[in-house]
Amino acid sequence: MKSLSILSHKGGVGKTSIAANIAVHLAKIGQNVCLLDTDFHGPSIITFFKKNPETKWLNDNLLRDEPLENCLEDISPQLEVSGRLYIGFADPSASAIETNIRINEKMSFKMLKNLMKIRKELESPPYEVTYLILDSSPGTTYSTVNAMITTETSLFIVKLSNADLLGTSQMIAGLNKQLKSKSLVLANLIPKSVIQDEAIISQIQSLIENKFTKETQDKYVDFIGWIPIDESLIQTEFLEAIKTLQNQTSSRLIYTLKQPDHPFSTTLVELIPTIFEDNTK
Amino acid sequence: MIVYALYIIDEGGRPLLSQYFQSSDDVPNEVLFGALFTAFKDLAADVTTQKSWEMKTLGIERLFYHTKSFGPFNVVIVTNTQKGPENLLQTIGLRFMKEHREEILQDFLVDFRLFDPFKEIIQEMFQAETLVDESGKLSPTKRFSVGGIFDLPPDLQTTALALITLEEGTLEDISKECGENQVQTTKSLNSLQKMGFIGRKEKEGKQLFFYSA
Repeated sequence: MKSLSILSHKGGVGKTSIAANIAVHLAKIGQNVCLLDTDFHGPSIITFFKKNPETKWLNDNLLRDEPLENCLEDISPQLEVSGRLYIGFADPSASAIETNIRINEKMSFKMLKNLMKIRKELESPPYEVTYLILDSSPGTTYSTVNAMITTETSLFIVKLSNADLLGTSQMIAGLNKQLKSKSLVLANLIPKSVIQDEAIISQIQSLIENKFTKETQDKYVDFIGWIPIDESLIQTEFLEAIKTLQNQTSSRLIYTLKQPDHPFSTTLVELIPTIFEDNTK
Repeated sequence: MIVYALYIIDEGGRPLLSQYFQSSDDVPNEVLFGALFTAFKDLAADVTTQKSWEMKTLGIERLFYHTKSFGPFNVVIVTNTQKGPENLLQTIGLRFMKEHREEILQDFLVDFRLFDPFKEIIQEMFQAETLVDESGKLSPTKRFSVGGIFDLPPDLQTTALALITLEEGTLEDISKECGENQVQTTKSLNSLQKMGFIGRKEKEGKQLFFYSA
């Protein structure tokens, strides 16, 4: 099983969107995937998928030992994809978030122990998962460390702003030297017009790579590419938010499923084999 | 449940017998322990409504001291869980009472070496219940935690995580879980044991490694 944690220094960089789109694409091409929302401070995987009210939360497994089968939902029939997509939703209720604020050393270790058990269980029937993806909290919290410990690759999503670049490079330098997982960096929300110019791209890429290599002193931190943003993507997100404000049913768009030809989808799909170091297309 | 130590303390706070199943680096001064523990217990009896013969538990920094009174002496078992080993306390107390009541009651200056054979009885009881570290290297203050795993050198993290996934396991189980050869795993297990993170016990003829969290 290949495993990936998706992390960021700051919130709002598109971490969850990238996690959901990678997971759905892999299920679409016939892989068995498990996507776990381990961002317990700000759960948002639930904004992309419809959860059956009877399915328990991932919090129930990690903190209260609820059996995994009761906490995972097979979303594949809903999406009509050929592989299986199991999702463990984090509880977005105020009480669950409050519990999370009070998590102590003993509870965070219990969560790590249960995450390790989930990982093991997912490899066997009935799941036989080939890709495990953890969407983690922004910043450096116990859940960031738990996610990095549990997975073999960590993908850091950055936005090209000074605060995020500096923070992310410091975050990787602090975590990467101690943890054995491989670290990758992906820049998101890049204006489409900018990355159409090969010369500019090459120049900025080199600057970013220098920045991360200098901070981390580690050749295993790789900058893997850019994900563009365009007017249509901003507008779609905006319209979904308005629907929510109007109390209408709303679900965020999964581009790799609904708009596979959109630049967001094509760029991300191109990067998936690099992320997992395999030939999955 | 992991048992770290057992004390039998007389009414005046004198430790009649103490036995440790942990790293010797963390063993407290037993005379001081006996006196302080008796003072705490007496204070608890004054301020609570608990009956004197009921098991009492005192938790200090994730170590739990479970005690039961048998008249002239108290048995104290130190564990990592709040739920106490009530049956063991009862069995050990009654057995000690049966074998040594006369000496304790009649002779204040009893030679404590007289109780040494009782240590073997305790050892056998705990080993049968697989509650103790037979290597004597487990440290009650060294617990696996997210921060603790983070601080470990990366090569030891793999072994620690494999053991955490399995909860307990033989060398073969752990090395299979790590995806390493047994020589590498043995090296890491020895390092983790020296650091006080893991213990070893025998179960159904197999040597099992376990940890405390």
